[in-house]
Amino acid sequence: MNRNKKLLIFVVEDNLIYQQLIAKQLDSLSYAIQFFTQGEECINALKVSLPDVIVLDNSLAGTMSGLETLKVIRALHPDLYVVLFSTDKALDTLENYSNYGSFVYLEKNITAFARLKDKVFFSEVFSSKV
Amino acid sequence: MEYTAKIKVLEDKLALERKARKAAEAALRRKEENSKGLSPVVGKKVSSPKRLTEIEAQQRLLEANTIIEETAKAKKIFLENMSHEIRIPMHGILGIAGLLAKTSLSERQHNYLKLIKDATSNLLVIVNDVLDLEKIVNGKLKLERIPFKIVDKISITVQSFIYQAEEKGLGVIFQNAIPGDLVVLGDPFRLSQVLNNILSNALKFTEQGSIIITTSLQFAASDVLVIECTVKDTGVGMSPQILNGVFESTIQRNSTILRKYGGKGLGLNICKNLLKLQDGSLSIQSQENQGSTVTFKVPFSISEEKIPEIELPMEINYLGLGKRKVLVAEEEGLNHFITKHIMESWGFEVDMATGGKQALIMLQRDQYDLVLLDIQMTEMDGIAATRRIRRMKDADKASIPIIGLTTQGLKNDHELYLSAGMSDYLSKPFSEAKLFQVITRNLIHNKTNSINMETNKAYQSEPIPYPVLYDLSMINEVSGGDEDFVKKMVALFIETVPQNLKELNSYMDLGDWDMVSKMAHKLKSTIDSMGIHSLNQDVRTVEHTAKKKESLENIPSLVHNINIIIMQCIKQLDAAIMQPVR
Repeated sequence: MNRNKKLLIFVVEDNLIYQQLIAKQLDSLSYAIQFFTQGEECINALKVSLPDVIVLDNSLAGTMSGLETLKVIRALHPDLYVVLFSTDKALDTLENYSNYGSFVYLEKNITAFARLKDKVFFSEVFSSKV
Repeated sequence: MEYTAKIKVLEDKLALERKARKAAEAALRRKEENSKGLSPVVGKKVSSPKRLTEIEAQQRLLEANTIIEETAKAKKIFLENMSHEIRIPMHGILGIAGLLAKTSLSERQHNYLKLIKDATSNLLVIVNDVLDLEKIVNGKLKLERIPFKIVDKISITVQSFIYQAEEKGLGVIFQNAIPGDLVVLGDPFRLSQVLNNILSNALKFTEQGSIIITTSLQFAASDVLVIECTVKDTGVGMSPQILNGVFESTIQRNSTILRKYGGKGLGLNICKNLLKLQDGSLSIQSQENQGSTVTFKVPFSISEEKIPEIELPMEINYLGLGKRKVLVAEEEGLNHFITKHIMESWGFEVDMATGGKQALIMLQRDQYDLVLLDIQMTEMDGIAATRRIRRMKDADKASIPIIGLTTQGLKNDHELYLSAGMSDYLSKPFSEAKLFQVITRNLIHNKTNSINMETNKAYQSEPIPYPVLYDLSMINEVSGGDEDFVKKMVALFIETVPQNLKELNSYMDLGDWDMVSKMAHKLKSTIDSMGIHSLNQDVRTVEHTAKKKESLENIPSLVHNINIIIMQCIKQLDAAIMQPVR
């Protein structure tokens, strides 16, 4: 499945172990994975480059939660493909969608990492970069 | 078949009456022009011969009307009975064909049988469609208005379809952006009927490539939202002429399409009508050889009700998952028999274990797609069995979907099952539909895991005196057999976690509860990723209570426990992973 190693992926995750797990999982999909531990860092980076996908944890270092970061991302890029990858359960609620913006929700558990890879892989289909 | 004759007779009568009525109307008009001030009253006897003709005319009018109504009624009854009479033998054909398929057949015979089944299924669909179209056109179709969970309904419809598509070698992507807990008021049956129709078409006309299903929602007003669903395929597509003809309601047009593609031409027409009835819309974009994209939208009002999973047995195709091999560990008894019996009727192969221990032995020996474990078993309960399974040396087997069968419905227990490593749970008593639903959603997940599985080597070769406090399932899963990667992760844990503990302890000593909560939050991720299940609850409790500044007196003992277990884990990991080098 080494279709397109040109995907630029941003991963916003403050736990080092999870960072490594995600990197390993997405390794075959992309040469370019940038890691951030805070929402603020990710937002700053967005001013410089536009990723194909953002994998976003909800609990981050810094002052912003994943959802709050998402809100700012959406203001800049309404169509950017974002996967909210979190141990928090049931984040895919009406309230969250209307308060923060749309996202693809994936709960962190044993089977989640393989699914993360699929979701990122298919992000090409929805990529706002044409 | 007496109905055809009856209708013919009535139609003839009707033709005669129409003729008579026309003549009567003409006569009436002439009368009205000639006689002023005279109002003809039906049924009253009048002496004048002129009046008699008028009255006769009125009466004939009434009779003609009655006959028209009777004809329409007869037609309706005819259709309903016809479809009923056709459906019964067709279900018979399908049922026997199913039994025949289980006998030993040559490949050619299997193919013929498949064709018979396909043709019969198609015919059934057409019969249903004809009846529906009739109802819609006459405005007789009643829409339900019940609360239901949209995502559940759509998921069930899509999942059984995914299996058929994969059998055909097509890729399927289901991208859902509708919240899982959204409950709306509407007609779930018609929604899935529309979706089914569209998916069937996509499947029928696509030989290679993929089918992408996306759902999303928009808000129309504060309590009304619009669900949008798109099905995009890489199939044969439609030329402009066909595209135009697709919505034609005349049977002649549709039979051209039917003949050319062998498809269910009525389908899309029904969809459009059904959607119109629900104030929705349908649009198609298509290019020959480039595939088609069908988009439909339906408005719904939001329901305040919170429903637990709704079962809709009529919609489920229990044969839709194909042949799977399942292990059930349940203590002997009626339930034991029923569960096995139900799944066998779906075409599954079911093995029974009478307890946790036996289940483990059987899992080692054979290859299964899924395990059902009763939580309460005497010598080894479901939770203990789950933990043992997740620690199995064979990574494939260790990650098998495990569904816990529970009799209690308490929330806390659910956390326990999931943290023990179960993939899902189901509370007894459960219906066939519910069992199917839970199995379906866990089986599909497993398909995606298979890409990472390679033959695994033993990671825990050293005998450890204490029960193993960590669980490397998640890390093993991601590593795909890469031992070095696993070692790297463990090393990372051993290096970084002591510092986290130190900070947690310091903040607690200082009484800085906000920071205690933050540190616990940080540790939570690490504990989860390393599968230290026994600390699952504790670290969350500390995070929560420290933040809320409640029950602060309990925190020190919890933190103490966290320290002990983590240090113990470090020791165990060091011995098991870091040291053995040969």
